[in-house]
Amino acid sequence: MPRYRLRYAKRWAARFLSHLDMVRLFERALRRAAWPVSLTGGFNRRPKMVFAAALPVGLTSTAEYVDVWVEEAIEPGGALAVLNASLPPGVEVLALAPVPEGRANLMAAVRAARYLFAWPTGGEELARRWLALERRPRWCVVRRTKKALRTIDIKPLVYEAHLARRGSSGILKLTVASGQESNVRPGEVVELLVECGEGGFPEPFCIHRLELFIERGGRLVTPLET
Amino acid sequence: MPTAMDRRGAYWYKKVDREILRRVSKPTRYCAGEWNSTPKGKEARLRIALAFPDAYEVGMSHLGTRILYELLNSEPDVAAERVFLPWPDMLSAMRAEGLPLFSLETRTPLSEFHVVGFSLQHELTYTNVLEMLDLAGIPPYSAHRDDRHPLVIAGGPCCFSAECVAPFFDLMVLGDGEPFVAGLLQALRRCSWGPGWRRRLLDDLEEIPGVYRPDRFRVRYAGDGTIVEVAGGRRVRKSILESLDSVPGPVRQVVPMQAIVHDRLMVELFRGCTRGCRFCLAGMIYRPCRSRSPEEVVRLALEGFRNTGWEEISLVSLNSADYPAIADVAAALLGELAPKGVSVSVPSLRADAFSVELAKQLERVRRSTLTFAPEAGTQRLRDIINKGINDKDLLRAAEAAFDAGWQGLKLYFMIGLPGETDSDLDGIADLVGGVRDMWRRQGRRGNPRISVSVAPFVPKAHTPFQWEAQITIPEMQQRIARLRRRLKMPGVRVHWHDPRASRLEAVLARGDRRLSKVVFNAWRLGARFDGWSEHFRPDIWEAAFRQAGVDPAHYAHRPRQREEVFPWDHLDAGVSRSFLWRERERAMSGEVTPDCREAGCHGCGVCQLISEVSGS
Repeated sequence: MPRYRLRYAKRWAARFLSHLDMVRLFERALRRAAWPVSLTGGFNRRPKMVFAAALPVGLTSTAEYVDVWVEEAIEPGGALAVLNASLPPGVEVLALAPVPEGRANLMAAVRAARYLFAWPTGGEELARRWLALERRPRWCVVRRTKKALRTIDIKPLVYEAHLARRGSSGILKLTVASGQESNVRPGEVVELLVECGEGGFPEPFCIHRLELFIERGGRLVTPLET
Repeated sequence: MPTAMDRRGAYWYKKVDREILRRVSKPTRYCAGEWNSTPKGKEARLRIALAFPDAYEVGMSHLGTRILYELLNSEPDVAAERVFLPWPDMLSAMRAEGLPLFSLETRTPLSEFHVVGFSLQHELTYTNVLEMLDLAGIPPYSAHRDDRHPLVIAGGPCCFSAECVAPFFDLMVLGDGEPFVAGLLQALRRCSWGPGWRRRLLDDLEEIPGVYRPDRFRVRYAGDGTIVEVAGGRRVRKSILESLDSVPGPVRQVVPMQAIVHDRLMVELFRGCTRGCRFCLAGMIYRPCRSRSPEEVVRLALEGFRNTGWEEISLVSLNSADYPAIADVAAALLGELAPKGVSVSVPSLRADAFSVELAKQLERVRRSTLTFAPEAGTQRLRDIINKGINDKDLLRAAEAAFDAGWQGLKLYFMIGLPGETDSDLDGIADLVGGVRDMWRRQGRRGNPRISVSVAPFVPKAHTPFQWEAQITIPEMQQRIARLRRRLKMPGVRVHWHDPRASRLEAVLARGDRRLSKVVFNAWRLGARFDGWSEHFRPDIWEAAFRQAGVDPAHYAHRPRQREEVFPWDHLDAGVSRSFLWRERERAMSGEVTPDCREAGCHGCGVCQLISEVSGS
C-alpha cells in the first residue's frame, strides 16, 4: 500500500480545533477529495492515517505532518490541489510526497519541535524575561503522571534558543525535545516565562509551531527530507 | 471607503478573535468557516438569520435548520446565516465587552438582519429566545418593536401551542416550512422597507398559509382561570408540503469541525407518522405521512456524501423501519459506501425482529447502540397509549440482538401515563428482567448492559391526551423511586428525567398567554439553558411563578373538561378535536386504533384539510 506524507498548516480559526477534530476533518476532506484511501480493519473501519504529533489547542502551525495510506499510487501535484480544494479555511496542505517503503512510523519517530513564541506586550518584556530565565540553572516544571505529581527539569531538553528582535517586537525561537521519549510542552515554557517577571498574558500565549524533526539513521531531519 | 458599520464590525472581529475566543470553552462554536457554510454577506439583498435557541452542538444537529439554510441560500439575492445561543461563558464575556449577538457566517449583529427566524423545538428553550433577543438588542416583546428592528418570527412543532411565548413573536409559522419560505421571499422582495414597512409586510405575510399573527387575537378569561374565548381572527391552518419529492432535499449540509450531537448527514425518508401513538405530538401535528421516493433518497444520500464526506448517513423520519423500501435503500447505499468506510444508520427502531435484521444489515461498517422504546411496561397500558408493540415482540427483538452479537440495549419508558398503576411500573421491571433472561438463553455468561431511560409523561396539546392531568412532582418522585428499587439488577442502569423539568415542560406545553409574564420573569431572574440539567434552575422558575401570581398546577395537574376552550383552539394542526376526543375515549377503554395506512381511515381530518388546500 503506497504511503504519502503531507505537511500542512493550521491557522486562524483552525487553531481552536482539537487533535480529534483534526483527525475527523482530514478523514472527511479526503473523502470529499475522493482519494483512494485505505481503511483500517475491525468493527470501526476508518481511513488509515498516522499523525506526527498532536498540536495543543490554540497554537498555530506550519509544520503539521500526517501519513496517509492509499490503495493505489496517486499523482502528488493533482492530489494535493484536489485535497486543498476540499479543506476548510485555516487548514492547508503545503507539501505532499510519497514515503519510501520501510520508513518508520511517523509518530514514533518524532524527536524535536521548533516553536516561535511572541510576548503580547512586546519584545522588550520578552527579552527581559528570557534573560532571567536563561540564568536559572534548572527549569523545573510539574507534571501529573498517573500516580502522582512529578517535578522535572526541562532545561536540558531545550536544544536551541534564539531571540530575534525587530523594532519593538521580539520573537523567541526554541527547538525543544518532542515525542514519546522526552517532550517539552510549549505551555511549560510560557509558565516559566510568566514566573520570570511581573504579570501574565492573555491566554493562550502566541505560539506557532515552525518545524518538526524526526530521527532517521541517527540524524534529526524534517519529516519530508529525503 | 469603509462605513462606520464596517469599522465597528472590524473592531468586533478583532476583539472576538484576539481576546474573547481565547478564554472561552469550545471557541469553534463561534468561528464558522465550516465546509458548506455560505458567507454571502452584503452581496445579498435580503438577510435572514436562522436562530436556533440552544447551543451550537444542538442546533447544528437539527434537520429543519439544515433544510431551510440550503433552501434560502439557493436564492442568489438571499443570505441566510446561522446564530445559536452562546454557551454561558461566552454569554458573560460578550455582555462584559458589550458585544451584540452576531451571526456566524459574517459576524453581523442580529439586529441588522431583515428577518430573524427562531426554531421552537422544545418548551425548555423559551428563555433562550429571550436571552438571544436581548443580547442582540432587539426588544423581546413584539409590541415594543418598530421599523428599526428585524421581523422576529418562529417555526417548529412548538408553535402549535406556544401561547406562553406568543407576545414575543411578530408571527409564527404552523406546519411545513418549505411552502412558507416561497411566500416569505416573495413578500420580502415586494417590500419597500420605507417607513411603515413592518406593518405592511406583516399584512402581506398574513396571506401565506400557516402564518399566525398572535397580535390578531385577544384572549378572554373566566373567573376560574379557564378561557372563555380566543377572538379576533379566523382559525389558522397549518402549511402543508404535499410531496417531499417536490422540494430539493439538502445536499450541502454544513459539516461542523467540532463534535455535535448528531454528527452525520441526514436524509429524510418521510415526514409524518400515522401509527397514532396517543401521547405523541409529532405523530399528530406532522400528519399526513408523506414519503420520499427510494430513488430520490438514494440520490440525495450519495450526492450529500460527495459534498460533505461525512462518515455516517442517517435515514431519518419518525419511524424509519416503517419506510417500505428501507432494506433496499440501505442495501443500495451500503453497496456504494461501505467500501469507503461510510456507515448508514436509522435513528429509531421499532421493537421487533425486522428492526434487528435491519440493524444487522446496517452494522457492516460500524456497530451502533440498539434503542427500543416500549414506553410502557404492560400490554394494558401500551393499549391505552396505542403503542403497537407487545412483550413478545420486544423479547424476540432482544433475543435476536443478543444472538447477532449486541452486548446491550437501550430502553425508553414513560411514567405517569394516563391510567398507570403500580402494576404497570412493576411491569417495566418485569420486562427488563425478561430481556436479561434472553441473554442467558444461549448460555451466555455475565450480564447484558441495559440502559433504561425513564421520563415523566408530559401531556401535549393537539394529542388525545390534551385533556389529561400530569401527575404531581412528589408522585413522579415516588414512582421513579419504586422503579429504581425494582430495577436493581446487575448490568441495568437507570436514567431519569428531572421531574421538575418535566413539570415545567407540561406547564409551558399547554400554557396560555398569561404565562408569557412567567417566562419573561424567569429569564430576567437568570433562567436559560433550562433543557440542560446543569443549568436548570427550578428555584428561579418558582420565583417567576410567584411574581406573576400564576399557579403552575392550573396548567400541569388539572384535568380539562371535554368542552373546555383551549389556548390553542384557534390553531389548526389538521387533526380535528372530535377525533382527538374519540381517541381519548378509546384510550380509556383500552381500545387500540391501528395505523390508517393498513386499516383504513379513522377520520382524523388531515386528508380533508389537504384536499381543501389543494382545491381538489
